[in-house]
Amino acid sequence: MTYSAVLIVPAATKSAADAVGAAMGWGPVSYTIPLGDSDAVTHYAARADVSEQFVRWVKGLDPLPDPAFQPVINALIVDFSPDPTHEGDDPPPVLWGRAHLDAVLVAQGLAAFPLQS
Amino acid sequence: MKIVTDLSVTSRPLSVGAGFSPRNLFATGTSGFYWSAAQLAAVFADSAAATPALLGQSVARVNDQSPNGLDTVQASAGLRPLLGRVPVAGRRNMLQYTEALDNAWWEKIGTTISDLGNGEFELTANAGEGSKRLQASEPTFPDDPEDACWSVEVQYVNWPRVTLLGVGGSPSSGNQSGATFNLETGEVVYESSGVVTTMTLLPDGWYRISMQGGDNDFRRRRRLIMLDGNFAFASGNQNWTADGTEKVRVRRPQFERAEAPTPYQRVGNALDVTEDGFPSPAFIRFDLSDDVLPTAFPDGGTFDVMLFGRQGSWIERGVTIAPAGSLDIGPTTITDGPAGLLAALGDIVGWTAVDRTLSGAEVSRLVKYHKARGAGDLLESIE
Repeated sequence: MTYSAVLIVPAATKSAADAVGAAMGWGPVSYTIPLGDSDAVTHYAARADVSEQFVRWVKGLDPLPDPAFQPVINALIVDFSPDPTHEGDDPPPVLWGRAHLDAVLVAQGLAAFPLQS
Repeated sequence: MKIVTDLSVTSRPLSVGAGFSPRNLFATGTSGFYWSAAQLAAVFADSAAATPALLGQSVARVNDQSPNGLDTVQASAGLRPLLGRVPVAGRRNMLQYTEALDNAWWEKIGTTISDLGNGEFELTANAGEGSKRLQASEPTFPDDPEDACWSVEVQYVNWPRVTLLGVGGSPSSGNQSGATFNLETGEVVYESSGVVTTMTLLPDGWYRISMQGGDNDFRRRRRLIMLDGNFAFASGNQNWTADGTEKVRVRRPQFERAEAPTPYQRVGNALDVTEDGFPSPAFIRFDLSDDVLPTAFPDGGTFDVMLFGRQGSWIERGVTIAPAGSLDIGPTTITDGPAGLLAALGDIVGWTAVDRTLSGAEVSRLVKYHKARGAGDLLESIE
């Protein structure tokens, strides 16, 4: 089973985050969605389908495959849908794709850049 | 020497009669590329084209079906769309893994399930006290439709009663609508308020049972089939004590928006839906966030590009690609296309790009060809 992931990093961390993605076999570029909160790009986002193992790494439930990834993990704003680690009877709605990205952006007070007027 | 001045000889449309294929467009050395849902063998899960993509997997590469070898490759895993298939008329059954009830997507609460083959499973109550059930792991309809219908086929083994109902939220909060069926007598023995049931006898002693309606809270909830102990649900108590031998057979669960159960759709995962008697063309689903499929053009050119989606088809004329540039499909449109194009077209079942002007007849034939593979009509504008 895979899970929709929205991963957001500060703009200054984009290169390091792409390098972590590349080291994990994701290819050369992962964070391609520029985000802003005014007239500048402040963050970059990625929307991907990930394994439960990835969820466990990011949530610190299992050791990372490379400890050098930890600073990027620490900088991540992350959301999974559905969240396999969710506890309780009322899980949030299952989201995927743009609907998932938009929900996370609203929750974080961020918007795709350039901002739509 | 004869000088041909009638340009229509060279510019007339190619034959678009029976047996038309987009490949016909490239018969005279036209540059460009195409893919349609009929060519699943051209879709790969890796950039090197070593591993065919499976339904539900991401698409790393789509090999060009024209003679030009202009393959579409996405090197970054997070930017890859997904491969799927669905009946032409669309998906109704919103459950997943409907022929793999032993999959973790189906939660077993106080029960054990075993695969009998052919999509049939035996559901056995575990010994001891408690609720005995099989339930979907996700809420199905977050928008709370009034016409949600839940059905499943069940067969008596040694335990006569099963219950359909919903769970989610705290079991003690709110009403839980449901219905209980007796598999020995073929009778509905309990319906909660507002619930409409059916119980249809099938060959070999199987029944298709269904329930529709119920209170609003119920409709949002997961659906389940429960081995009912001593009419426990009717008494408001889901818990009962089993000796571990009580069992029924189950298959073909379906949860849909309908007034009554419709023919069963087989759902492997959210991207693999089939139905007996109906073709299920393949498609590629973009996440409209960052998924992109680029096709590199070493020589560049100016192209008429057609994109065929389940909700509609589109032609973008005169798309200029610089040498060593690429024609991109995604994240939300195509190169030089209108904003919101992919959202308007829906899941993509094919594309064609040629470095010349497509005639009206060619456009019509391409649309017809792809409509037979699940595409929608040609759109004139994107709203």
